[in-house]
Amino acid sequence: MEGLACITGFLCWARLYPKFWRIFPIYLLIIFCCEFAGWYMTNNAIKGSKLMYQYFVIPLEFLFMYFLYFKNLPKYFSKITVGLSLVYIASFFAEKLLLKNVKWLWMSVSYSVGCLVLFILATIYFLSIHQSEKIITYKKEIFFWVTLGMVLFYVGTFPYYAMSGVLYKANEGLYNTYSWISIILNYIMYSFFITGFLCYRQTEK
Amino acid sequence: MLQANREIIVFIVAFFLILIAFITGVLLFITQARKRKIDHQKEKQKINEEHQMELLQTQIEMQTQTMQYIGREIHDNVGQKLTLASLYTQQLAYENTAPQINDKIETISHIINESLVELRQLSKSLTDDSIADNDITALLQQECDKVNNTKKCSVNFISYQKSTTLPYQTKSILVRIVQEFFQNSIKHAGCKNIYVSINVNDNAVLLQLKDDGKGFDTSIVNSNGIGLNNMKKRTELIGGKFYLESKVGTGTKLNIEIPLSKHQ
Repeated sequence: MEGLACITGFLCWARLYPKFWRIFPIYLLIIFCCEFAGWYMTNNAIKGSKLMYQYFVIPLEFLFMYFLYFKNLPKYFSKITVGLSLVYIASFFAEKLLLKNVKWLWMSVSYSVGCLVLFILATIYFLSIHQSEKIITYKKEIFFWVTLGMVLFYVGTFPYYAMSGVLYKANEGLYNTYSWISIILNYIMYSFFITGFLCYRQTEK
Repeated sequence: MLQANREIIVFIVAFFLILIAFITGVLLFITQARKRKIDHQKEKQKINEEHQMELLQTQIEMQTQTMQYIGREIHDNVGQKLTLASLYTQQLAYENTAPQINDKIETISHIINESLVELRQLSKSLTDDSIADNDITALLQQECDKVNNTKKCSVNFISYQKSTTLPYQTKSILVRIVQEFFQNSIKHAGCKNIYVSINVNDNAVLLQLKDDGKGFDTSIVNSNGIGLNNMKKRTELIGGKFYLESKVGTGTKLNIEIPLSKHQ
């Protein structure tokens, strides 16, 4: 699904405007390569897959999404977006450097902060387009679909990714069910990305 | 372990509730967007209608001004020159300088005088703003009288007009439509009788035109008839409805309904 979203993005490449949207298919390609590498490493019992996700894939996903909000939200929200991004970065370093040996934490702090920031920015985005004329043409906005997909995925899968280790130990059946839910939410997210690209292409015509 | 399990389930349920709240929010957002879109389209349509009305108003004003200018020019310029020519020919006849062509001079003078009368009538009809000065009943009566005077067919006119005053463009368009209908009925349908009725009330104007001519197939003529298209277009410009009925051998019926509140 990621690959399909990436291909659709590249097919719509020439029509993507403002030009920063052209980074989006590249981002999808990078994530697709990382997911493929992760899958290959897990299947061949090569270590390092978890580290790649923790130190590269997840921070890249969050920071790229914040970048999209920075570019798409009205100018007066720029400072808030930058501030919230810094909060996430701080939480990431705090977790890796200061909270490394704290045992009472049963979920990932940086992932939780990342999701919370994303949810706040998504709410700001929806409220801002609700107040503006863009509400009339919301279907033609790529970012509407991207935000919708992201929020559904990150909020829906938050309990699964934030505390997967604890969940697995406490209730394996629930963990397996949630694995399927997270896969479905993943498909929904990338379907929305594809819809965004296609709807945007229709507007340009 | 059981306690931890329960906490995790509560945590997951709480997150799913947040997700449901978010989806509800998005659905509300979409409903709101649809409502705004409908309002936006209505507003756009209203602006478009107002723009069309303004265009029509300007068109009518320009037409009136041009006609008045032509009328004045005919009266002041061509009319004066013809009067002078008439005087010269009369002088020639009076001086009797060429008795052998006196008859021809008389004829020329007669032709010039006839032309002067016709030009004055034309000038008067161009400069007179009868549409602004008269109500719709009087205007339609004038049109009917014109046709009746030609003795080509008989026009029966009935008016049910209350005190409502119609806007200039409505009167202008109704008169032009009636003129076009008369022209078509006499020229193409070869009718013997035309029936005209107008009903003006506070909400709408209903104009009914009917002839007993040979009629036509509306599916063929509608697509090609410039006159019919013009009538329809003019009616729609002022927010009116145009209903044309005709069959070969049964005559033609045209109903026009113009709401008054919409453009007044």
